[in-house]
Amino acid sequence: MASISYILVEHKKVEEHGHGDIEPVVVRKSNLNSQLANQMEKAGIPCQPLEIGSHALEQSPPYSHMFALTSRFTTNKGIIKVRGRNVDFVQILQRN
Amino acid sequence: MGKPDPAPLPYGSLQYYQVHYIVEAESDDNHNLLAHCVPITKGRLGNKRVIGVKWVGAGKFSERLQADTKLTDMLKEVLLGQGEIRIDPQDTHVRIYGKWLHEDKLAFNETMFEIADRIATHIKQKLADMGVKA
Repeated sequence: MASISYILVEHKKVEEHGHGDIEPVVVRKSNLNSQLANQMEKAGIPCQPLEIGSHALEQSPPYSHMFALTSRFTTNKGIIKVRGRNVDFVQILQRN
Repeated sequence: MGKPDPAPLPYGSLQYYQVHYIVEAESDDNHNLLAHCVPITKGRLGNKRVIGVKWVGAGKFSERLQADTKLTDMLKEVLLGQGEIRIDPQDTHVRIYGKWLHEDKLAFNETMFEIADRIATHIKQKLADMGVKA
């Protein structure tokens, strides 16, 4: 019981020193495809990040393996739908 | 608390990323679009620069890309960083990509996008010549 009251006093001390006035740090998590889509939008390319795993292209293997030394194991990090260009999608892969 | 492993197993995701530019094109002749470009360089280390580009491919598509002088000029800008650019056709789509990039260098490259878009134009024209709607 004594230890609990000690902690309460400590907490009050901290508030008196003005730490309660600090604005909270807001951390926003965003996927890689959303980050890249934002950069593309800033460059004037209309695009939209899709939810990971929502498109059929993400289910298919990323390489035809007709080139030598292409990776066997990769992680899909998201896909972006591009509008009004000849490139239809942009996909980000991570190496394993 | 246990000691950290001095030689951890090299498995799991690495800090390298690759950006694929995908063109939707469904045809039986997609395999004819297989190509990759190799930079012709001069100099070493800091003086290294790309003086030309050579397209190597399975069909006549590589000749078509080689004839595009504007594409060659654009490629000279990015090939030092991208290494080589590959056009990798599959049954339902064609992928255009460069080399793996470290996470520090992963950012949207506008020139690379314009190159991929220009190659995509050639892909769609080629498929249209073959009577395939891409």
